[in-house]
Amino acid sequence: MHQPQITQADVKRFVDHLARRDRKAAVRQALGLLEAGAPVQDVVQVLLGSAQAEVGRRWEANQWSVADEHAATAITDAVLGALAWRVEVAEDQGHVVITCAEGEWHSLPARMAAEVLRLHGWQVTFLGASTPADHLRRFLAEVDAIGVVISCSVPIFLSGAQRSIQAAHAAEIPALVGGRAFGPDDLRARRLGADGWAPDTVAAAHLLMVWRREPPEAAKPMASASERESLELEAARPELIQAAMNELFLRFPPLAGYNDNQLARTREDLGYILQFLGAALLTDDPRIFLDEFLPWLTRVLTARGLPAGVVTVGLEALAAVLDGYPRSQKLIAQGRRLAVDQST
Amino acid sequence: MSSQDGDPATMSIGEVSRRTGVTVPTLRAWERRYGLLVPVRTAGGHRRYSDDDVRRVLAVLKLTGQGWAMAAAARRVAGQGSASPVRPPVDELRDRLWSALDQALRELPAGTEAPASPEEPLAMDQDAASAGAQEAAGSSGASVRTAMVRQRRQTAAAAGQPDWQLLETVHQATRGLLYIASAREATEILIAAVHRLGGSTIPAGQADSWALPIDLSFGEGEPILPVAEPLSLARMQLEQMLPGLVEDTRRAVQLLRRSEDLDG
Repeated sequence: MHQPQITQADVKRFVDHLARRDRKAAVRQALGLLEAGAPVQDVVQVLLGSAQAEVGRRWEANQWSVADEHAATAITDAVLGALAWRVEVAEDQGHVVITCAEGEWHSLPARMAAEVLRLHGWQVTFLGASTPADHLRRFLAEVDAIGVVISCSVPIFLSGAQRSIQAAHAAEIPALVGGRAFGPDDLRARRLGADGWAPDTVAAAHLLMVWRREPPEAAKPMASASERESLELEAARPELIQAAMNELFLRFPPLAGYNDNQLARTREDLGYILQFLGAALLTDDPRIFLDEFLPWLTRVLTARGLPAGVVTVGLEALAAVLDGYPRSQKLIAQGRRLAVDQST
Repeated sequence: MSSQDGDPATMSIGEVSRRTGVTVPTLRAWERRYGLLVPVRTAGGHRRYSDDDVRRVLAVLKLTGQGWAMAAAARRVAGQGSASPVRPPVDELRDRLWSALDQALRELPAGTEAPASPEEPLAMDQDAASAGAQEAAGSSGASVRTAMVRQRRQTAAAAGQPDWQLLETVHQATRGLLYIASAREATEILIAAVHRLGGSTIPAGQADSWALPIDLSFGEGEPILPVAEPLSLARMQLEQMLPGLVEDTRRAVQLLRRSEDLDG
């Protein structure tokens, strides 16, 4: 059968609907593609998925505000809801629970996964954004499920994902993890003790099929040598931020002219650096900090008019206060070298 | 892992319960609050207990029998662990951070883990929990201690709020969803619930770090985010109750839109 491909032009049109905040036009376009024969899975993953990536890019480049981003996401979400009614579910594969990692409030990727899994014949319970691990544990104790899919988009919530994984294990239900936070391979998933990692929802559906026939052996977390330091970093974060701010006043004279709001943002940025550092240590995966976070932070800050060297200054201030955190020091040193390379 | 000495940890918590006469939920509570039991975990993530754990439970029972307050007895016994490590194993450190966090995000009384005993007031637990955690964190735990103090403050605040109020708020909101005639009404119900939970709301365009990144407007009108001071009681309540409520509301809005499509 002829299946129309979803093109870049379709995606662009959809993003235009988002930009105009035209929910009905967005729904009409998606349903139109469906009626023309496009598979639901493609409409979800190609049309909505690409559009959301573009939404993120526009926020990053400071073209869209937080409000624009939320408005666009809400519309994509409504489109997803409209598509859901058109999905004809095949045979019953079994029950699967989907949740966002504790602390992870980005729920659209998980909801998209929920719809695609429904399409594959799974009976899906979607718990929503940021389910506290203890809620998850109690919920799972009452249900029978082939697996729990735990979605995490931002690496700073990987410690929350670890808690969610353990909640699944406490209920003796295998945990499948996915989402951008887990990166390009299964390393982070294994370090956190997940029973499976899926690069996309189709892969997740395949893995669940396998588990339905044969549940996985309970995974053993690959203890990471640096997990302790990540926990200590987490516990000391407020004090470290304050100390780094004091350093920053000495090292970055413009700070003295900052207003309260700008100072609060600077504190936030230092906090993010520490949280991403913690995520890299928790999973013993320096890529989180060096390849993913620092280039992103540099793009975001420079798009907002800050000088390119500001990230380096922030890293130096943190290096000055992170006494007794050798692994963090090492990552920061590597990060500073990278930042210098990029700015020259 | 975290066994205190060579004594093998082979017992389930049920076995510890049989040997000591203390119910399983109570043992779990003592483990969580006071660190009185120090299980090791099997590859499958199950906890296994040793004779040392049984000895500590019996020692606490003896002290309470002599008129000691539960929290003080547990602190004393947990503090005299035969080989309390200077730097606790990372599993234990993690468990302690997490259980302090769980304490802080005080749960609805689902009946699974009720207070250890009825005569033990909640307010007392907070001291014991953080004191126990501090002891266990040992000399390396200065930073951990700071976090504990912070969490203890939250917990003390949370303990003052009867959980049924939270439940009632969510219940009322959910009932309201059955009668909405527009997405806007659904948003209003959520905004009211956020206020009842102690938070407030703000247009996403003015959001700062106090905002929770969850839009309450469902694509109609300006995005609206809930707001609450970090580490406040309101924040905790929102983090606890809002994800599920917003998900239910989204479902209600979807149903409404669908019925509008069918009618139109």
